[in-house]
Amino acid sequence: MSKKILVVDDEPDIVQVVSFRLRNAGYDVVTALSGRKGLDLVESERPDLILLDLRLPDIEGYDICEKLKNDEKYKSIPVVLLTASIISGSVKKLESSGADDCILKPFDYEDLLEIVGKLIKKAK
Amino acid sequence: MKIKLTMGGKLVLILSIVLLMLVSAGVIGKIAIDRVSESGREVLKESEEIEAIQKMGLVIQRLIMPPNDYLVHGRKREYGYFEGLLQKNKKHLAACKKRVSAPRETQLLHEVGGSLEEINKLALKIFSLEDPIGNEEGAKLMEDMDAIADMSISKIDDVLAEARKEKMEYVAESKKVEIKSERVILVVISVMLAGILTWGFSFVRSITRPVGELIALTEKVAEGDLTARMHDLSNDEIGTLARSFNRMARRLYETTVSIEDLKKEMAARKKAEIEAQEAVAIKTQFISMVSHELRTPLTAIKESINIVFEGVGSDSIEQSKNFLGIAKRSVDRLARLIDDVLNFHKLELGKVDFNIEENDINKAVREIKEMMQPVAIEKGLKFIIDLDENIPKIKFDKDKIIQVMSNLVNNSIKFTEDGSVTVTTAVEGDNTVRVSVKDTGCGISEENIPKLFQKFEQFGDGNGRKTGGTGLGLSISREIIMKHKGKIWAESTWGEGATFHFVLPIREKRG
Ligand SMILES: Nc1ncnc2c1ncn2[C@@H]1O[C@H](COP(=O)(O)OP(=O)(O)O)[C@@H](O)[C@H]1O
Ligand SMILES: [Mg+2]
Repeated sequence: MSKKILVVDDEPDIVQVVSFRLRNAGYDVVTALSGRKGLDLVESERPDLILLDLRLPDIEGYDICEKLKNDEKYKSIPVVLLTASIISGSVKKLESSGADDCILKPFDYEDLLEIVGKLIKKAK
Repeated sequence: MKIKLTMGGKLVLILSIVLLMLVSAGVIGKIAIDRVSESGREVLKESEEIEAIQKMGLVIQRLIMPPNDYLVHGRKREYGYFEGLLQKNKKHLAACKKRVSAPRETQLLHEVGGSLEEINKLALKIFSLEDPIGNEEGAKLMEDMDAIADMSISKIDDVLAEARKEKMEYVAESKKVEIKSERVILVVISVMLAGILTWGFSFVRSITRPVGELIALTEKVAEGDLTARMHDLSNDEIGTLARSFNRMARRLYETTVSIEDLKKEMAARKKAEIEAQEAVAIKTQFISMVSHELRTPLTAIKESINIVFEGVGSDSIEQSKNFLGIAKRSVDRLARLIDDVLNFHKLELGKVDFNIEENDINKAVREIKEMMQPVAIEKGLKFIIDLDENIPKIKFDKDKIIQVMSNLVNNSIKFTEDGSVTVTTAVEGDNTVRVSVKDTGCGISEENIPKLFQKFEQFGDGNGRKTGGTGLGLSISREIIMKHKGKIWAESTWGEGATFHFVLPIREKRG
């Protein structure tokens, strides 16, 4: 059975290209354009990994990550943060959020797939 | 030359002048009193003289009484009486002579002396008569003696009258002297009094005037006028006080000025610090925004082109078209970023030329409709325009105002999910034209309205739908409207859409 990945980003174009690459690599992909929608999908879809944009209009990526990592039910789901600007969040905040990895846009899709694959394997 | 004295000096001077006046008044009074008592003594002497002379007359009258008695009674002892009286008379005369000084009186006394001798001779003749009672010769002698005595007495009366007159004169004169000295004393005292009063008054004035001035100045200083100074500086204690006051005021002024300077400097530093902090914050915001607005489309471009180039997936024309579409949108977005940033930077530096000329605002709105209506329709929104056809032609830069309207309409479309976007024109007041862009979107919360026109401020739609953008659109619009001497503002209730207005002046105000 293929693994399910949740992509949360407010940029529709980014969501499109990322989910295309993931699907092409054999993953199931669900997408959300806002933080709230993303949290809903975590509950209903039970993804095996979450790709989370930092700069979301309603809830900040950090806060979503922190929330998940503090929840016994979702603690084990690996979270990879996507950011377009390293300035908008300090490294410390990034560490304290409990995220498993962080990818800076623009990224090479090979790197993305490698990180995702490693984390899913580890989670098993 | 004005002699400068200390107040102590003034006091000493005044006291010595008062003392001098008192002494001189005393001396004058003493002289006057002396003169009065002298004249009194003279009068006294005079009256003693008169008394002596008066007595003389009486004595003479008495002197002729014993011979007369001898003639009546014939007693021998009358002679003895006579002798005694004569001796008394002579003694008295001598005493009178000593007292009297006036030549006429001396003459008189001399004459009286002669009369006494004659009376003596006649008396001796009478007393030598053997048969005195009823003696005819005796009666004759007695008659002579009477005549001599009468003559003497009348002479004495004359002199007395004269002496009395003199005495009266003396008294009158002494009275005059008395009055004169009284007057002198009175004048001296009044002059003294007047002098003391004037001196005292000017002395008191010389203290109260500068003291009054000092009080007025102190009040001025108390009210904050630290440049107030005493100018009339005397040499006395008040002058010293005034000088210390001036020194104090100067020091106060200097310290206040330095405190004020210090405060100003601190305020300037604080302001600079805040400005620096703001600059850093804006820079961070800017870099964050640019970073996001560069990296997001770059990611999309890179990935979509890669996908097409590598022929991943179905590799259909459809799929390629879709990803090339994403790439194109992202390139546009990059171009917009560059446009917005450069545009705003140039506007902020005032380096943008404005081509302000007579234009039709309604025509500009129609052009906007042509540009934006397709975008609105694509999102399922109605695009409505409501134009006031009586609007006069006004002066504005057409391209710039179209840029403002497209920013506003773009925002409205971006933040509205369903409903409409309406652009209205109208004449407002007597000198402005108003353009309003109204939407039925998410609206703006009250706390964010004041921040709308600040650069890089982005609030999103609050509904989880994030929109790409630089946060510069409204800042740019504001700069453009300000250049037209117009105004731009927003009205909105959260959840009920927003209306953005701007006004442009019809005529440029003079002055
Ligand atoms: N019509 C509108 N309705 C709701 N919010 C708006 C509207 N216009 C502007 N805003 C808010 O103001 C912010 C700043 O707008 P703007 O300066 O045009 O920047 P950008 O459009 O690039 O975000 C927007 O991000 C949005 O949060
Ligand atoms: Mg905008």
